Amino acid sequence: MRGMGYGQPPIGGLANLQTSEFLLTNQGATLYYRNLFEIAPAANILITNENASYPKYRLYDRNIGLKFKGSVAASPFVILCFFNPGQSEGADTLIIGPNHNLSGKTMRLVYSDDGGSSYFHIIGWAAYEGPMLIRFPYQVHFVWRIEIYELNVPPEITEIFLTTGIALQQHPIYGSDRGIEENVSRIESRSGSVQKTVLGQAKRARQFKFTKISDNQKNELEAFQAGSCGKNIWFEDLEGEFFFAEIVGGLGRFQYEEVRRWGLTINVLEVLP
Amino acid sequence: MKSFSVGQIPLMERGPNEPVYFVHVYMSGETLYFSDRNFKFNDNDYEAYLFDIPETAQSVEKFGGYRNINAKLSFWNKRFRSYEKLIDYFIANPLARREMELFVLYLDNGQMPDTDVSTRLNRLSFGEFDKIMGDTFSVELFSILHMLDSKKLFTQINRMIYPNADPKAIGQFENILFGNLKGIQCPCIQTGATSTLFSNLSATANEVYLSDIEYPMSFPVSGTIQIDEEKMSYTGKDPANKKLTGLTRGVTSTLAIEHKAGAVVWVIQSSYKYLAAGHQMKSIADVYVSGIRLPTGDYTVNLDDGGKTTITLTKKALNKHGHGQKSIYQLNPSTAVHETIIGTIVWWSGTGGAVDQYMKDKDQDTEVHFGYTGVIPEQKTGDFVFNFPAYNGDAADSIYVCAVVDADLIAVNGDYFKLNSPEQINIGDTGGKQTLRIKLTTTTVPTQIRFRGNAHPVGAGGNCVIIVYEAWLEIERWSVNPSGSPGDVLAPVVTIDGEGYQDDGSGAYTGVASALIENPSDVRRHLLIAKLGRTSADIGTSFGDMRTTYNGRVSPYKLAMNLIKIGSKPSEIFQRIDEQTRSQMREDGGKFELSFHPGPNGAGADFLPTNGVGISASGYWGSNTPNKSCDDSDATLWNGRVAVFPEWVQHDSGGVARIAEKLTIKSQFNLGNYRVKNFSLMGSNDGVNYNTIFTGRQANNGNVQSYVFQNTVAYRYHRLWIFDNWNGGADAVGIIEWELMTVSWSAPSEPTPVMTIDKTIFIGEPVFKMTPSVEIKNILRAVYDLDYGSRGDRRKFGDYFGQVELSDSGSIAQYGELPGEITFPAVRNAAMVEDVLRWMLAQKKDVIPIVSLKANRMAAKLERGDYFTLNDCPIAAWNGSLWKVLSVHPRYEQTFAIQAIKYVGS
Repeated sequence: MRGMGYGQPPIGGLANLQTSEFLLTNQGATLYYRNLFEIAPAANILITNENASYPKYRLYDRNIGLKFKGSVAASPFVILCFFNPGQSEGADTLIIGPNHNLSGKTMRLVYSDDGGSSYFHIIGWAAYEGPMLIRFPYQVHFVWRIEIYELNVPPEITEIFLTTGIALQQHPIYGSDRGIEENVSRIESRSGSVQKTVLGQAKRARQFKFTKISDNQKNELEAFQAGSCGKNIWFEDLEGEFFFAEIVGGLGRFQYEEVRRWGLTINVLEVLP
Repeated sequence: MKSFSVGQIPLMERGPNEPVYFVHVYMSGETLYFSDRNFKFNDNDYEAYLFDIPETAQSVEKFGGYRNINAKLSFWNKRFRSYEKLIDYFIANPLARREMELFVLYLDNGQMPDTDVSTRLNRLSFGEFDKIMGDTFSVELFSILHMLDSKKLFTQINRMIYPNADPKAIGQFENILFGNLKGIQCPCIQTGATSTLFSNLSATANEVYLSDIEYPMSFPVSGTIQIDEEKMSYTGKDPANKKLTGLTRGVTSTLAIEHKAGAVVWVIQSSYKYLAAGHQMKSIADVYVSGIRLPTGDYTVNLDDGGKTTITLTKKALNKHGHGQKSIYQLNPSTAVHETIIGTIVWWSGTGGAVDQYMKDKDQDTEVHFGYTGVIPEQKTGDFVFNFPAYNGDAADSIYVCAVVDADLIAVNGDYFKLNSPEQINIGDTGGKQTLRIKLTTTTVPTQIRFRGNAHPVGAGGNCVIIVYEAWLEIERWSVNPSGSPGDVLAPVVTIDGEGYQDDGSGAYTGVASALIENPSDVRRHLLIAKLGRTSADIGTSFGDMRTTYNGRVSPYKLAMNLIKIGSKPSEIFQRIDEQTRSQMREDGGKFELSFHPGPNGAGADFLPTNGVGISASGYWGSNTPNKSCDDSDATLWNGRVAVFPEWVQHDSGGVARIAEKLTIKSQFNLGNYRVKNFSLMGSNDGVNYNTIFTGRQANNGNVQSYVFQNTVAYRYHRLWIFDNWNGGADAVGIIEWELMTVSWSAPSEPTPVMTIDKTIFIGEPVFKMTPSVEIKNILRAVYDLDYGSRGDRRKFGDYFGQVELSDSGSIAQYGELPGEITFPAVRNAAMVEDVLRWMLAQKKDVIPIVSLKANRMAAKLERGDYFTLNDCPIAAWNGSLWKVLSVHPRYEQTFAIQAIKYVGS
């Protein structure tokens, strides 16, 4: 793997940035691909309680359909992860998948760097319907802990993603698109009348055609490729819509355009629960 | 964009949306909720562990009939709970033979389902794993009926359940009886050991050598055996030498005689038990041994012997029962005395010694006598008294008092020597020494006989000497000496007439508590629930409708069958019942449903006059004259004479002879003891010679009861004989109304189509074919009333007592004679058979078009068995015709593959 690895800053840093990158960098389209709950050893993920039919692995299985469920309501209900001794990991975004039952509950993200003796507040918020995306300043810690208060029924959560995002540089060529892919069949009877049948939900689709992206962005995308292993990711588009998605056909190959400038087409398609 | 939220599933418009399919998998103690997507519905979290479920649904939806389905359920083999793979869970918790239900969920526009609006498509059973791969695996699916096929339906008689069962009964199935049956064979479940004599047995031997002493049943260490007519007790058993020891010969009034090698030896039991049915029956009417009806005192019926029905015989049911030869058993006196009744008698014996002993020493030389020679000075009367041991042998047919006597009497008093008791029979002057053999009128063996001599009158002169040498009894009885093999002796054929399963106390099967379960719909319901473990929730409402349909036919449908003769597994049994009851059972929507094949209807019109013309009777009571028996008025009736039976009422048409095929009788309803019981309908054309048309028994109620029968002969006179009433013949008989009908057959009104299918919903061309011409049958011969007592010795038609034959002349003209045979092993009613046969003939007399077509979702409303009208056919003549749906397969993307057969009414 070239370039950067997990949690490492971009190679070269600001000194290597080109002027055009400053002009064209977009803060919207972001790929969230690494999850501290996947990086932490499974044994280091601790839950207040668990319904054995809906086990905790479902919190970080990159499947927003299968739910984790607690067995008993508790306040706070705690979900935490920690790393191997001497290891700390950084994040700036917490994503909680759709189809949870936390709406209206108070939630808090805290950390500990002393092995769990004392915890410090990072951010608190009131949970709401649908997927939640919580941003906070980038920080690196040994223990990350999510607290849910005021629960009167066991919590149901499809996915927790404690992550950092890769912002895509704004080099899409003219014609990058956004839209939906329908899932509809068409049948015509002998009389010529047409029947259409919706087979399933439409999926949001995005396509980005990059040109002249820098080595830095290329390195970041390669790190993304290595880190995501082709699995589903959380995606936030240029307008701020975010959803669970797949990169159709994988990242594909970088096209050499000129020295240290590359072209790439990314197809993003929503993953339904 | 819609997305999932808790408690809801994505919005879908009903019409243009592919429905959501999901399954409930019933594991031990828990239910798994799976689908091909993740959603919450009715508080269940359905998880996407399935894929290709619409294809599975396509294979099983609207499935019917008896063939197993060809379908499988495909799973994502991903992590499940604590298991690395889902299949690991299913290996730890086996899926085979577990059941699942498949549901479909249609959503209306803009609505969220907050109540259960899903439809259960089918209930299925899992088979074996198929195509196990890293990411996926699939499991075969079976229909419930197919799964039930491996369920234990019949119980075999074995030594675990019945340790003393007849070896011939081992391996036989316990009877499972429905309806009113005759001649049901009952296996013997409790009898004694039997063998044959290994060597000749002398009349005095005290050991008996047997061919085998342990096999197939073990002789007890002591007991009583019988060989030929002789009974003997024994006290020991020597298995090594295969002999019984310590014999006491000739016990219980039998004679110790010589027996030849090969004679059958059997252990006498206090009782012998036969299994009528492996369940509680409603009743047993009669019991037969080798076809001979037993007196009711010879057996005991237990309708609930541990949940089964048994018959206990107090005597062994021998094959030769009532058919042996007469034999004579000589019963000798135990003591003999002489008594002086009147006067002074000189008793003496020829050679001295104890006088009385001479009367039973059997040498016939010594004698006991009294008498007087010369003028009789006074009346002298004396008795010779013989006492006998109790007789324990078989019932006496005739009893003879035998004696060797010499009575020399004064001529004038020749009648003064007689048998005085138990009956008085004159003997008189014997004219010398004679052997007497006097037949008694009684068949009760006496314990004492008494001869009386009388020297009288006083003053008469001459010899008056009476000598009695010996006396004994000869008991003539029918031989019960069994012949044949030991097996025949162990358990001859015992058969019963009786009624099978009855409803429980709540009427769960028939709607009437404790009623006989015989309506074909009720029988199937009972089989499914009571025998196959399904629940009443698995039974569709059509079962109730079909009960009404069956009861409303020209002759109500009733089954009469021993289930073990119908088939070996449930699907075979249900299919055979379908064939015999003009119906189709199927699985639909996770339930069992029944449908009747519409077609020819039988109906009759009363041809008896209402004005009384031609009506007469053997007699009547009061003003209740014969004409009131058929005046179409429930307010009037005919009463026969009081306590005079049989009585009859008759119609004389005076001219046109008519064919009677149906009789209805409505008995007097206000007085139960006036109701008709046993009756017979007879026909005549000269008013003198009558032929029996039908014989039956009216149930004890005041309802109209119908009898349909096979009759092709027209008569001028129809006479209804009533043999008794429900009061046993006391009182009179009362008939409010009787009717006679000729049954006519017609096509029913056409079924109402559910929808019209034309080019607006066709996808592609409809394809037509015809039923195979080789299956054309235009002469149908049906046999019914299975002979359950035949032991399977006869085959085909010989196994049945009843026969019905129909033909279609139009078809014969077209195709020639093409006969077919149909057996009705579950039916004893000719009219019901004809009802079924007429439908079969309508279906078989010609080829019938079948259509296969695809249509869009408008066809979704079609169910198997529905009718639709078809337009835009390539064959113009079929446009607008009526078709019956054979199958509907939903295709992926909501097209429907439909196969249908053209409706033929008659």
